[in-house]
Amino acid sequence: MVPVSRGRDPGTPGPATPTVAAVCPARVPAEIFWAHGIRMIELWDPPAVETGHAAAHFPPMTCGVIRQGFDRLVAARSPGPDMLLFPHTCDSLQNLGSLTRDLMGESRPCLFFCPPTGRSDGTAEAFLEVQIGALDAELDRLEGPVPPGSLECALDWGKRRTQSLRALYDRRAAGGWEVPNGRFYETVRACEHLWPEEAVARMEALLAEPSGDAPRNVPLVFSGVVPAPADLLDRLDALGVRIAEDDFMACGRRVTRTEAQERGDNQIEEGGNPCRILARRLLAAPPCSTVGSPIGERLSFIESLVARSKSKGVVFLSLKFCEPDLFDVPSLAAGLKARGIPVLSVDVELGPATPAGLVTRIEAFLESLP
Amino acid sequence: MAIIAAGVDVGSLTAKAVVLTREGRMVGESLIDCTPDLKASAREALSLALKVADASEQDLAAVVGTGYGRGSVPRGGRAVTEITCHARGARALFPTVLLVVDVGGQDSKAIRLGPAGRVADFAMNDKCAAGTGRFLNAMAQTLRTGIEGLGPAGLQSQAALDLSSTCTVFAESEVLSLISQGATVPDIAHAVHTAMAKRLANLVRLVGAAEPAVFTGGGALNGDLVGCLQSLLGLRFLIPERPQMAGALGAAHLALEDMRRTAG
Amino acid sequence: MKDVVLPVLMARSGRRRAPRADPLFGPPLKSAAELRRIMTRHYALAPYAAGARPVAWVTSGAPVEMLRAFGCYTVYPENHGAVCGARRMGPELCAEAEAAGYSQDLCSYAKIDLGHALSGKGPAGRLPRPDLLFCTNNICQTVLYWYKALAHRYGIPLLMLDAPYISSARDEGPAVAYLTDQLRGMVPELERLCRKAFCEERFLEVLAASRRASGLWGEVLATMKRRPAPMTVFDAFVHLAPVVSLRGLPVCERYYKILLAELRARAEAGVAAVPAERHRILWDNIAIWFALKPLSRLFAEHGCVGVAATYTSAWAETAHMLDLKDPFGSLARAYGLIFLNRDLGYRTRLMASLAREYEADGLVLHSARSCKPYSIGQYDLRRKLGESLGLKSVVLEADMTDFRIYSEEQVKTRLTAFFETLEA
Repeated sequence: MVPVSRGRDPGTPGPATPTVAAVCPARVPAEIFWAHGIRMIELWDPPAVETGHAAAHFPPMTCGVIRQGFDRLVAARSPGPDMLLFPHTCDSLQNLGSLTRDLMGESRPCLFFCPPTGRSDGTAEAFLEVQIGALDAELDRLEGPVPPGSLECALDWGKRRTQSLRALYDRRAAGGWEVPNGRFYETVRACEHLWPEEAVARMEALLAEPSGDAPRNVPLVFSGVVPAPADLLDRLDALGVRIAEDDFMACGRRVTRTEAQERGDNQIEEGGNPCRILARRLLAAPPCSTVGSPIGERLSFIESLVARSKSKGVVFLSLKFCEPDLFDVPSLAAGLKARGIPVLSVDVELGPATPAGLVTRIEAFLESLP
Repeated sequence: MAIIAAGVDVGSLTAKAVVLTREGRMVGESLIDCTPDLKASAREALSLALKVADASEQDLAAVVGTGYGRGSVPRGGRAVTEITCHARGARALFPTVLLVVDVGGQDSKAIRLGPAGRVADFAMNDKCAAGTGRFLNAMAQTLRTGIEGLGPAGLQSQAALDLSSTCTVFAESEVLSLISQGATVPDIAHAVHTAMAKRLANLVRLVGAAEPAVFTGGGALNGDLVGCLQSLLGLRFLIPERPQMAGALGAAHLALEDMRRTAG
Repeated sequence: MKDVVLPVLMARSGRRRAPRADPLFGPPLKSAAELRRIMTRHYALAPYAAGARPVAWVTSGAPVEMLRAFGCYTVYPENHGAVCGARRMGPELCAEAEAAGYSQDLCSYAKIDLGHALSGKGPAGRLPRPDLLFCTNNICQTVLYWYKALAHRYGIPLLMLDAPYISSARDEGPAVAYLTDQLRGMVPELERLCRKAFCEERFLEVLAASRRASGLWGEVLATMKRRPAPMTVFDAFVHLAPVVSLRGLPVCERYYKILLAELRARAEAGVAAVPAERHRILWDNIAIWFALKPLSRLFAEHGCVGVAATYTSAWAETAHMLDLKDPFGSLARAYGLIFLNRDLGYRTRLMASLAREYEADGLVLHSARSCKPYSIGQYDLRRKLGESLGLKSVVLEADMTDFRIYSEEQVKTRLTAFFETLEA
């Protein structure tokens, strides 16, 4: 399969510096960008760049993803990203996009992408297809039309990437494969900035690592936006906690867990309209608060993660000020507890160091597990 | 000398230690102010308690450390969180307890126990001063009652005032405003306790109220605070004789269990 | 069982003692008594609806016309939230939600509603249990998260009208098409849930009534263009209730005719809401419900009059788009293209035109902690309007209903300093 990074013409070597798009969370049809030879860098929790700009534009009740994302976008000097993409993930991102576009002026194209929220029926799918088509048309305008075959190639890579992710998750959930949390997520999250072929290569390299057992190991399911703070994964390794499955917005919520979900994708591929395929792919992804998935669906999904990974409990790492997740957590926690699954619910913020209080809570939770 | 077990609770302000005989009888305890050198404070608290017990470190079969400085416990003692230790300590004093509310200097917590005494759920407030001993200290200063005088003052309140701010800084300015309006110290103190009790009640409701309930930590010495919380929740709280020692006591009992386990 | 509660409540609401004359203000609006009667009756009747008609809880920006066509009894949790805010019950109800695990950083309207649903506490008794929820995210995304939680707790259907964000004019076409499709698709669903056939005649009647009522509301607001203004935005916040929660019903239209007549008479006679009117203010964001009186007083003490507000204008902004010849399409436009669903540039232009039309020389921005879509971007709006129109402005950090995080001293100081800059 031809690598996407070869650029727009699969036959010739790609440009020395391909167009780069800085992309805000959460759900975007990456394949459209790949087809245009655009490399995507997702901005979830880059290390903070203290510019003080965020404070001048955002009131205190905005989450770290917004503030740090904004600081990074504004601080980016040449060569910064060539374009910015703002999916309509939440109210804060909506206004981040609008603000940034006003500030950037004509210097960088700011694209918006608004998927359906609160519904996933035929009407919503049709609208999503239109949105993806509009994005494609906009990129055609900025970068020129996509060469024949590029879109199909990109779609194939998208599928491969999901399959590799699923293989990693399957192996992790099964246990007996004691890759430290830090390494596992470093690999999974490489998808946020690598070309799909590079990401797949990384994942396959990790998958090839042999099994082994760590002396003590408590499997837990984690849910939230991203594993945060930055050193949490190392702390968890030190505590003997294995994140056996996850419902992170940046990670597990993008991985279809069963082939059945993929099968739907296969059926329409023969001569299928790429935008429709991508729309269905996005709609087939695991439930997420940012697209308004019903709480019942999220609860079933998290329960299934607990079951398939034989985890001892669930930890909700709620990112401070993240409204979509914070509204769901109380019902999710209550629902899991009612089914006898131990739950720990904590607030986290983006930052370099895990506060002592958070470590204490996790330890106390571990101590309380039967 | 009888083989003994000890628990050390190293907080950021005070360090406490409890020494138990192998039968579980309490034979020594200590409470000292901490220095930033947590290791030294832990050592000092332990040696003081041992002295009271007329014992030495050689007699120690097991030590468990808890609190903020639980990693600094002498003799490589096992570290266990203060949540587990407070629950264990409350259980040691009141064998059927199902709910523990702890108000320390730096944080407050509500712990729900299952019927067998395991921690079933917990909720903590350790980020915000309001709702902890620090809030009471700040108010005691503003009202010039001293921390020991705050509770008795509140108990003499005649009128119910409202303190709505959740922030210590805002609350202080609210209190000053009440003073300037001629409100009495007892009434303001009671309002402070009511406001704090509301926050504690919220923590309790997060984990589920139940009886028997125990109030531990320095906050338990404030009779008006306990009274406010009791009224709000409709529960009666049992108060240990020395409520600040609950964590160290629990740690000591866990050390005892460790000792029995290794003995076979 | 004979009902004694309703007559007592009604009698009490009408028989309120006349407020003492205050030299800072002109005579109070007589229509206010009628407003109180209408809203009290609305809340008092609510418990009787359960079982008699399908009860729907509705978001403030939703096309309620769809529900009225099916005879649903509508409840507006946001309006209830405002009432709770005004009665200073915000913190108490938020605490109920927080005790169930909801973060203290979440929208206070949502927490009041969830807190009410969990505890039954509230100034108007228990709201009738919903049979269905009707949610449109044109005003914010939070309503979706909130209503999802309600749907889960009550085990009832959530009818979602997804209003895509309009980042630029180019998005209008696809968004309106999507909204129109959704609205059409809701008809069979509502028929099923309400066990009633769709009656187009009734639907068009409601649309027309809604359009008229919104138009009247727009005219009510326009009376504040007068110098001196016959009423202020603080009055407008209160008189907003019918167009939000009773729009499409005859009582709403009737009321605004009464209010408009009174305002016009006052304008003719040169009666001012604030006799010492010297400066005219544009207010941005929702009202601070628990502080309306003290704020209104503080404004008046400095000769400042709130004459326009983006919040109150919202219910008149797009009503003219309603068109009986294209009911679904025009509903899609009227509800999909509101300013809160559009980019900040659009909002800036809207505020600039309001400032010009109403001759505002100052801008007060309420940075509502609960309301991210409204509050995020205000710092830039303020800068832009300062640059383009020379408008002086101040930001007040507060919330619609949660006064736990409100510092009266801080707000008073800021406003006073701001008013002083206007005088200079």
